[in-house]
Amino acid sequence: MRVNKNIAKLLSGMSALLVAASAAAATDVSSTATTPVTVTVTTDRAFAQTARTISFKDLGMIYSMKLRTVYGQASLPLNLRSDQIVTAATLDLHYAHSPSLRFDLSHLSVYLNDQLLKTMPLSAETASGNTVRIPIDPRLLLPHNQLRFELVAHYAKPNECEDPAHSTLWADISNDSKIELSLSPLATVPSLDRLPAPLFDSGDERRLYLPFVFNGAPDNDTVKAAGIVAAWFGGQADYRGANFPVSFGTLPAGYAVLFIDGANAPAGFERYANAREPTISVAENPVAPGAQVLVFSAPNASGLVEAAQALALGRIALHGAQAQISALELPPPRAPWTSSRWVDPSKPFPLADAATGPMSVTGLVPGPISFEFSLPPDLYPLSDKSIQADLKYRAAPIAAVNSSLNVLINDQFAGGVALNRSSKPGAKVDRSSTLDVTLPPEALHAHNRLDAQYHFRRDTNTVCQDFDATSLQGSIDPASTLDIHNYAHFTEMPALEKFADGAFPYSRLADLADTAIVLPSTPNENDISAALIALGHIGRWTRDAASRVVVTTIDALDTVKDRDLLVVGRLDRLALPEGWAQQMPLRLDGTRLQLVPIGWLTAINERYLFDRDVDSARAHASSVIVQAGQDFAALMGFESPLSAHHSVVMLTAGRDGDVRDAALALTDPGESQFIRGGLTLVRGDQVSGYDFGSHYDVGHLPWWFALKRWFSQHPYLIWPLALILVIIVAVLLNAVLRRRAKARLQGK
Amino acid sequence: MRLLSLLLIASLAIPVYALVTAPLSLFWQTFTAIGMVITANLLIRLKDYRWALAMMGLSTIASTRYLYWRLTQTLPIGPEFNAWDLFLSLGLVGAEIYAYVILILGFVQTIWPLHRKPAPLPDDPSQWPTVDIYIPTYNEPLAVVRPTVLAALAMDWPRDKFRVYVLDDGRRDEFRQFCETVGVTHVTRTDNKHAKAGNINAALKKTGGEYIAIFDCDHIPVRSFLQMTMGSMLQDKTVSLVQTPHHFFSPDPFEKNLATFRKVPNEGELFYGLIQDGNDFWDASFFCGSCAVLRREALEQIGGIATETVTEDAHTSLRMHTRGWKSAYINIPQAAGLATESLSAHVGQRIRWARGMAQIFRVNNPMVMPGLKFGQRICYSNAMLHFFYGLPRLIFLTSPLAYLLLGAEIIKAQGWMVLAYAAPHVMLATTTNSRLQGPFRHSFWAEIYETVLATFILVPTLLAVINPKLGKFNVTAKGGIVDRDYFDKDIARPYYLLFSLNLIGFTVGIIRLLIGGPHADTLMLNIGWTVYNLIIAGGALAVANEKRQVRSAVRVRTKLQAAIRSHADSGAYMTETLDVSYSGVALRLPEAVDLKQGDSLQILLMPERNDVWLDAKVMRAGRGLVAAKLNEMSIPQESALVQALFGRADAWIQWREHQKPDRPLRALFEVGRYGIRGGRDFFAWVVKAIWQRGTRTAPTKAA
Repeated sequence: MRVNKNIAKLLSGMSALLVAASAAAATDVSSTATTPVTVTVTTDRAFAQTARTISFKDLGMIYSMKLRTVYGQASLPLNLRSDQIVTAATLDLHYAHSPSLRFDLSHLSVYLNDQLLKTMPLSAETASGNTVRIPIDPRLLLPHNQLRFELVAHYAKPNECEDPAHSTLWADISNDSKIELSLSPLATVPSLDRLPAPLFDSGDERRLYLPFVFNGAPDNDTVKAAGIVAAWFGGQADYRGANFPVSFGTLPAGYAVLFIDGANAPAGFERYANAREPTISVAENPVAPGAQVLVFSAPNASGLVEAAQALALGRIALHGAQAQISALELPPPRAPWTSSRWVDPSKPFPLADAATGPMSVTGLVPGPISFEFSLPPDLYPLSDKSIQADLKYRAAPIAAVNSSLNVLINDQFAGGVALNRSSKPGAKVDRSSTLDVTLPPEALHAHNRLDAQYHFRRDTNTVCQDFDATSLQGSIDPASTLDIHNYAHFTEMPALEKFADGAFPYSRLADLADTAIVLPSTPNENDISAALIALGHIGRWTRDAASRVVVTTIDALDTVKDRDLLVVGRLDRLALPEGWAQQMPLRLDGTRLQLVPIGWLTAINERYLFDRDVDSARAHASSVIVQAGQDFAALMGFESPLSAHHSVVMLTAGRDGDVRDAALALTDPGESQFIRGGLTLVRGDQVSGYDFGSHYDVGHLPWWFALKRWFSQHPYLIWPLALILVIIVAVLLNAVLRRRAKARLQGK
Repeated sequence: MRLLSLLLIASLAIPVYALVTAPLSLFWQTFTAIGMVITANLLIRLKDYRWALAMMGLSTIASTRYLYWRLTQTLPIGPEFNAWDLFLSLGLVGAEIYAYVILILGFVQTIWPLHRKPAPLPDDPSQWPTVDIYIPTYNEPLAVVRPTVLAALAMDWPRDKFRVYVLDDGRRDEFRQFCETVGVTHVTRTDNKHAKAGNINAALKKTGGEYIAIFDCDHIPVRSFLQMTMGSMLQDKTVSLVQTPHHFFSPDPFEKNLATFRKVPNEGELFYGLIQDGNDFWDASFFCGSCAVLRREALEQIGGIATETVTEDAHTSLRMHTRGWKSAYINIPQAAGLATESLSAHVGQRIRWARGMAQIFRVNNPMVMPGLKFGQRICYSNAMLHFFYGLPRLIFLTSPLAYLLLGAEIIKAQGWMVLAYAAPHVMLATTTNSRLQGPFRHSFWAEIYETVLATFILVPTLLAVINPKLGKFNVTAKGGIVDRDYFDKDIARPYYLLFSLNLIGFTVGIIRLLIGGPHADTLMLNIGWTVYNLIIAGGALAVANEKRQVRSAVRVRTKLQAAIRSHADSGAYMTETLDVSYSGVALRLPEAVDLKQGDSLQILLMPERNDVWLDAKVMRAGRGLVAAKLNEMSIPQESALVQALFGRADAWIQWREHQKPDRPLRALFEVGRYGIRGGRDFFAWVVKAIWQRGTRTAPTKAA
């Protein structure tokens, strides 16, 4: 069994999301996903860590590892940071197995990078559970490792027939099993060569923690420069998430990013003051030996922006300790959804590009052939059949009765085909068959996994027949495609779930040319940190340089009227312009918090047409707010009061809350799955999302579909409109026909 | 103006498209259905014709919405269905599309019945044109033809301006003598090529009148016929045809066997009362073979009456229309005749019509034939397509069986959903047609009329489309008498097959429902459908149960002024008739007159315009009534009787007053009652037949 941590993390998100989806809008969906092992050491100081315990859970196993059949295999990736070396390692293995095996023939083996670590004979005593400590020679450990388990198990007595897929052939390896590492830092010369390492190390599965340091309160352009860098690091960290704490002056004891404009440099970095050209450098952190600081220096703030853009666009030679940027020309503005992240719906998408592993499998119980792809969050299918996976498959012509190929989208069954084959001599497969599966639009997210799962079933009527499981093979042709047709780019907003999953609407233009970050008039460290975390989240989805993002403050909104706004700041610190409060689901009235009132018509509409109980959603939200007092953070989505069809997402908090919590909720898959609707309240690790039923549209539908949609949203108007229409026609027709009849009777 | 109307149509098409295609949940579709049905039932109460047009629009939307849904959502395509399901389903869908097309074409065709009034003639009768009156005959007995000839001769038209021709394809001496006696021309030809059409074409070469009036030999014209029709011809020189309705003074087999004469509009009334009037609006009224005036110039231009098809009349009109000639229709009965007596004869006649229309559809398809206007294409197409109802009707009568008996899933939808979509489609169509056709066709009667004929016209129409030459011409026999009650089991074979099948389907359905089969809603829907089919098939069975015709001569119940006297020298008394027939007269007996059985009596009908006394013998007298049998008549006497009986200008005008207006629900109950009666009679016949076979005491045909 091959486990991809990426998949596993998503998987935990998906399965929890299903729970969330089944709960009505009103129900309290607090984050229940288990938080990964308490992160005591953040990644910025991980280099100095001397001991680390990694459980299989941290490696992405959300369930125990299951080994089946006479010869069961499963493996697990183990990646290590490159800025430290392992001095000693132990594998602490918990496992259990079937008690009804023939123990003289059954055993479990552990391999690291295909080197046998240990073989454990299975016995009646170990069946109900056993723990072994296996020492690992640290020299076997590489930056990227594979831990593999093999079960050889038999149950049949001599001269008895054995079913190789018998249900008694099992062993489970607990995901509480762990690897204990003793570590020692690996000193390296500061260099740009390995960027983003060592500040971000892809061998570390933890959320990226990277402090940003400004020397004093930064101006908007400096924040923009930091934002571009944050988005870049967000893109690198990808599913791990990224946390960017901010400090105005104090350098933390670990990896950090530092911005210096003009003469103003913190102690130890004086040599970067008064840079004549925008420069990117890597330097030792004077506060923490062994740690490095990425320094952006420039004569002024716009120089910092240029340096950040150059880094994000990959326009500098990353060599040595320092690089200077002479002149930078931005690439032309990006068209919507052109980032490499998104599938281009206008043409068939070859699934081979999205495969996460080999596209051919072998054995009685093969793992799935998986594909991962991202769809633009505003992809709006105009029919149930708009999104189709055209799989071309081939399966070996073996008599495998009731075998099948099933297709799952995000773990939801989408389709399948029976592979009933006769075992006539000469049966052959020399071309691919096609399985067209329409993917249910409701099951699709921004990021999706499509599994093609072969299920081979052995013919159990011929138990004693010689059977070679490896002859059971199946593959998916690289020519298989994902076909999307009959679609529009359209979304009904507010939809914070699309911001959490897909960073919509900001991710539409990958260079963020349509995005403006709005900060309080005097932003503090938390405000800027939240903004950077949000940009990191956006960068994760765009996978592109946020080169055209704009940063402004709440008192200077005029320049960003026609952009989608990301407003960051505590409610009491944001001096919102007139008219904003009416649009917001949660507003501050003096010092009192107030939820938007819901009209009875809206309530009835929502209840009977969309089956949404907005009244009780509101009641629940207000009870959460009352309990929290002012100690909560919140995400809000609403239509921009500055221009129609543009969106505002506000990361905010009560007087005693921290706006960073709202931003951090986006980076934690356990919490972000509950972000939804127009208002999401974050209180500690409790996240609950609400839809209050006031909607606006973003994007464009074909007129005929828009009309159809309007009618299906106002079904009670169909017959009255039909009546009005036919009366108009009747009156007109009556006049026309009367004239015609008169003319005809007069013989004309 | 044209651009403006195009823009208007386009701007209306968009919302209509949305109304038709908007997908709804079961709840909201039901809501919409109820709303539409209530609306239609309110609109039907409003008099202004605009509301009728609005109903047509609403009905069109409901039906289109249904069909759109049906075609996009319910076809059994997918892995869970097999080809058999699809085949059966396509049959039903095809039938539904046909019904939809006929419904919409019907709306267009009758959107504005023209109600043309007779045009005035010049004041000076000497300027009136010359008319040839043709009375073609082939094998009909002289007794049938005599009144027609006598009535034609009595027409109110300058005597020197019209000539009557009996076109005798039977070349009978008896006819020649009669013609000589009454002073009309007896025209014959050497062969009988092309039947009636050939007969007329041959006569065209021998006569010279500017206009040709044609009467079937059993259609007796009233005296005002020419005055009523010729005005339209003179007013517009491009009018090639003035048609009047065919009226029947005897009950057709439906009316006779169901006893609905003069209570429920008969089969032909829709056509002559409404459709031809609607056609007139589109300049598409067509020739019906009789009771019409044609312009010789137009007829000669197209080479005479068309001979390629067995419905030469409609074909002739079609050709004149393509040459740009106009037509007119005057919706006042100006002639009357005998309806077909027996169901078998009626069926034979309709087979001919259906086959002929199918032939025209094949030979000169009005949809593509050059020279026609849009409305004419619609009207002709509908007239012809209408006769293809055979297959669709049979499909509707058997479709629920596919589900109940064969278990085929022919509609991929929930039963309630089907009901929510189909109910407004069917109910609005029924209500709207009731509003439009009510006086001429009661709701649900079309189903009976069509069911009776469906199996018989199916093959001839299909054959005619494949090759117009297939099939044979046969003349409708008229004047026959059904002298006893009997069940025409040959004609009824398809009906009892359909009835039995639906009965089996119904029984199986009920059993499946009782044992708790899956999809109770679909089951109930199909059971309801078979119940409806049983009613319709039962109605057809009731029609096939022939009722004896009581009198040998047709009797017309009219109040006419009359005088009676016992002999030529005695004084006369004024009285009035109660009913009159060709063989006898019933009169109110003046108190001063004393008559007894066997007395001879002289009767003067309509003394205000007649002075020919009829000789008669008293059959019964007393209680203020006298019934007299007419003696052998001389020609003048017979002519006088014909004029009084058939020739009055107002003879056929007020006959519709006895009919009740249409109420769809009442019509359904009425049809239901006939359906039950037909079913009961059928059972009685079956039981009796089995009983007789079992006991072997009586010949089976006595059934």
